[in-house]
Amino acid sequence: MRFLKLLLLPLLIVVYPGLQGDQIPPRALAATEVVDVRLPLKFGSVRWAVIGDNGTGERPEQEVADQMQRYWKVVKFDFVTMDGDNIYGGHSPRDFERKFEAPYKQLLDENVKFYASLGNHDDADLERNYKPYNMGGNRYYTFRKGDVEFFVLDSNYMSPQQLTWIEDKLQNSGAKWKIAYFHHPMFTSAKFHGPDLDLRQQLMPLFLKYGVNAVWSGHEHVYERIKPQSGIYFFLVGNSGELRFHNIRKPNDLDIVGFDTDRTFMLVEVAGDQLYYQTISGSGQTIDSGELTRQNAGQKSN
Amino acid sequence: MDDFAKNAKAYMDKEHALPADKLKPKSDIELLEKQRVALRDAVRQSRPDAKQGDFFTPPTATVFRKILAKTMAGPDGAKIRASLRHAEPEAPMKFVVNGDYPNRQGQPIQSMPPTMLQTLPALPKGLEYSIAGNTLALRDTNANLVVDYLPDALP
Repeated sequence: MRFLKLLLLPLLIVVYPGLQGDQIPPRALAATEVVDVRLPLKFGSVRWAVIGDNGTGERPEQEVADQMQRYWKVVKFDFVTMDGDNIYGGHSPRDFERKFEAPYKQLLDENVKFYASLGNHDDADLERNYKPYNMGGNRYYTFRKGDVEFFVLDSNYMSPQQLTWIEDKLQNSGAKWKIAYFHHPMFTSAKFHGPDLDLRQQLMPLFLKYGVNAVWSGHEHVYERIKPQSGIYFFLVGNSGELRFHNIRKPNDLDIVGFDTDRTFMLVEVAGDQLYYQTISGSGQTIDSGELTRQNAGQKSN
Repeated sequence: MDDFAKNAKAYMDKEHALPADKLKPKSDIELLEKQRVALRDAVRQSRPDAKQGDFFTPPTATVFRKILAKTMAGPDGAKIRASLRHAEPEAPMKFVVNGDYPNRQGQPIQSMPPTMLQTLPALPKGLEYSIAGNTLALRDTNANLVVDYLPDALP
């Protein structure tokens, strides 16, 4: 009988289908397989990718970067926004090479720009001066691409000076789309850190007053598309390198989509009053996609 | 508190007068780090006798503790506590005056609650408050150096 069991064991391992919730992501797509692009790729649109909490230098970061490269070949996004924790652990030249320059080499070689925000694991004063992060030596800054203005904030140190700066920049922005991104989430259903309520109290009134359309953050190592809060769209991408399996509270009333079983990155396209998004896992599966309409559509901008 | 503001401004004026290069954007991390180390060394040499309490003098320390106690007991206290509690349990706790800011190995830093920053005296550019446990530190961001710290700052 024991001999029979020993004989059957390899067979059982081969045919075992896996239980729901097993922590093994689906098989990665081979490089030759066709990518499943769900963005309209309209002429003249603004296209970018979003990553967050990526800078581990480990294999999963590379897998996400490989998927980004595969999608770039079709989508041709011009730039990547980074939700912070760009470099975990040490910050030696070797670390920058291993955790940023090597994984994204192909994109960097294609002249895709990266625009970083600072997380709590980042060396703020080294990274803001690191040219490939395009921060211009600043801890918080803005940049504009077509109809979209990005407000990149430093949520590690939301000083009164920064709040005044944000208000001034938002007030004077003529962009059709105003998008803010920073590391610490104002809304999340993830369990490890939770939402930063103090940050929410300071930023939400400004975002509402000056018509911020969408907000991205990281910090929690999951993906979330959150129900619009007072009309503002919120995304969390904090699993482009790190991942905290099964860390989203379930059920919860906040998320439209919550994904915590693989790494992800996002593709975003803005065309006119529409914002299209697609979220792709490290194994190449599309786990979320859709279209949002600008809240103040119809209003003039310059 | 006037002395604190005066000392903070004098510190930054002195740093600006140092011959060390200021960090400017470049792709060479090694060079950036070398410049920062050179600045840190120059700052250290310019204040070899620096010690805990130079900025947070006993009268200043009393005022800071009162401000923070009032903030934590106020209407936003619960939010701030929640923010601190949920943030970074592994954040560095030990500060040494004139020492490197203790995040050199990528230890996560504790974000400063915005409401708390609104109640503390403004600092000149280049200096920041930092919190770890219940210690408040004054950090030189250009040199990534601990300027001073105040133990038991939070109630």
